[in-house]
Amino acid sequence: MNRTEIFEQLNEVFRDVFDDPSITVTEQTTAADIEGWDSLMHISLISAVEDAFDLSFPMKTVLAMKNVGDMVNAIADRL
Amino acid sequence: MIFTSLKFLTFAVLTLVGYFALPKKLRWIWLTALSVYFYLCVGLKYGVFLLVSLLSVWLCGLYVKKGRWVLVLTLLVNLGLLAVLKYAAFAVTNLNRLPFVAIPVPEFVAPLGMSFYTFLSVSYIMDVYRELSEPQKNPLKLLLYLSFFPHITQGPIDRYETLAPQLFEGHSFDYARCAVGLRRALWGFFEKLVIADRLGLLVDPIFAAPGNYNGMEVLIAIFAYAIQIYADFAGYMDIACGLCEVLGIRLTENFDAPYFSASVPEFWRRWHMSLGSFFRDYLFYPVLRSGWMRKLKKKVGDRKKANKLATVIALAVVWTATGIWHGSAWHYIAWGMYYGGLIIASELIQFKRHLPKPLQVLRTFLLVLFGYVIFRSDNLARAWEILVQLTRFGDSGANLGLDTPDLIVACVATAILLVHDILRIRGKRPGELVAALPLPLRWVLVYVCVLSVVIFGVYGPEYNAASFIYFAF
Repeated sequence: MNRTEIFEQLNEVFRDVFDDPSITVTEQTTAADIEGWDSLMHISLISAVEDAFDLSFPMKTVLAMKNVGDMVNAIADRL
Repeated sequence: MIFTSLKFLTFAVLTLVGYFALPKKLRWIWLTALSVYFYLCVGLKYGVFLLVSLLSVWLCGLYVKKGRWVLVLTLLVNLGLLAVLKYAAFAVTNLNRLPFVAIPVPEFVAPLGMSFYTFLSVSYIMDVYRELSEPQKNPLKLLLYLSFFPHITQGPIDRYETLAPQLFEGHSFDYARCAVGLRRALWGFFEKLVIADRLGLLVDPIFAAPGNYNGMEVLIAIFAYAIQIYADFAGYMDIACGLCEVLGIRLTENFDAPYFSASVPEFWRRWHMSLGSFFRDYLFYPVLRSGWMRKLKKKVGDRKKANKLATVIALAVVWTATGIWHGSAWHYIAWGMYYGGLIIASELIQFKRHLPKPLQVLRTFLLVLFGYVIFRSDNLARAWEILVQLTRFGDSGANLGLDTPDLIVACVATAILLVHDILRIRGKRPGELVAALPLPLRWVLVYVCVLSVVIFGVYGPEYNAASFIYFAF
């Protein structure tokens, strides 16, 4: 799976988790750019991403993610 | 050594002069020595517990890679000590209410700041375990992180990774930074001595005997307590952060205009922020991502429902812990559960979001005021008495504990605090705005603030500056 495909699948996850079909994430997207992306939703989002890509992030990675680009890197490292 | 005492002012001046007089390499040792002295001023015996904590955490940092059991053992030692010293008497007292149980109540006294340095310890070892921080090999450096005097008694709960490098680096003197720091500390003294301690004179008698007052007076006391605790805690933070700013050290911010929050969750993202992020990273996330939670979510099946259930359980755990952390009494636990209930409700129910922002802020503030009734009361029965008293009308014949000039001073000072926070929510930093003023105007402001603290501050030989409220936690 290349980076573009990861983004495509990730967009689906974001749209589903935040109930907003208009969401399109980029490398630089952060929690501040998406309404409702707070610390509670962050973990729900992480779980949804883990389910969608069938992988598991260690806590270190979860806490170190600063934007969607970091999330994509973490996914790519584990695929 | 209370921050608003003359002894502390002398200590602070000595700290700053010594820090910049010493060679850069020795500055962290100076801070360590002063922090240990500051802590031991409270009582030598308390130092033993700090030492146990330090040794366990230091060894854990070095050997945590040997296995998870090292982490678990260290957590048990540190949280166990906190639990025994802070909560044993409460637990035994409650157990004794059961039939046929009569255990002697232990008379432990939790060392000053134990709740804070235990959390600093937990944060350090968890971060080392998660490989977010490198273990510190020098125990004296770790001692400085744990015992750093500006944060050991009331926080903030700084992360090792953020604070430690600043502590160990010898910062150069910078006049502009020094001026900013001193002005911030001065503002902290204003908040504490002019606002918090003055309002305390009004709040304390009414919470002690609400039956002597009518509903309006009790309502004023609840409102005044909201201002008092904020000015008290934020005042402490401003003194601590201001002093650190002079040294070139930035502590984590703990407040961001909390009473302008549009919802309860937002309030808790703006109030005691370092405690909130501590519970988020070291309790909420681990509970949500624990093995048993994953199993539970699998059993539920539907992902959204499973996530909701997991969030509710984790929030209940976090808020019960938050309540217990604040003190060994039922009213603190009830207060934690009250907020837990509100935040869980806000997760499950979509409240009307189309309300105008000022009404959302008002709604949140009223909910926070209700929380203060539970929090400030000595026990749940007193909290109930206060709520009942709110419905009593008619002249009580009591006075409010403050005469008219004092009330005027309290109102004007609170209005200044309000303006300060309005600037914050508009994204401006009051300290930077003052720094940008023309020099003469800046000095006028400083003199006005100094004179206000000297003239209107509540202190003097006949009145002991009240301890900071969060010292108790």
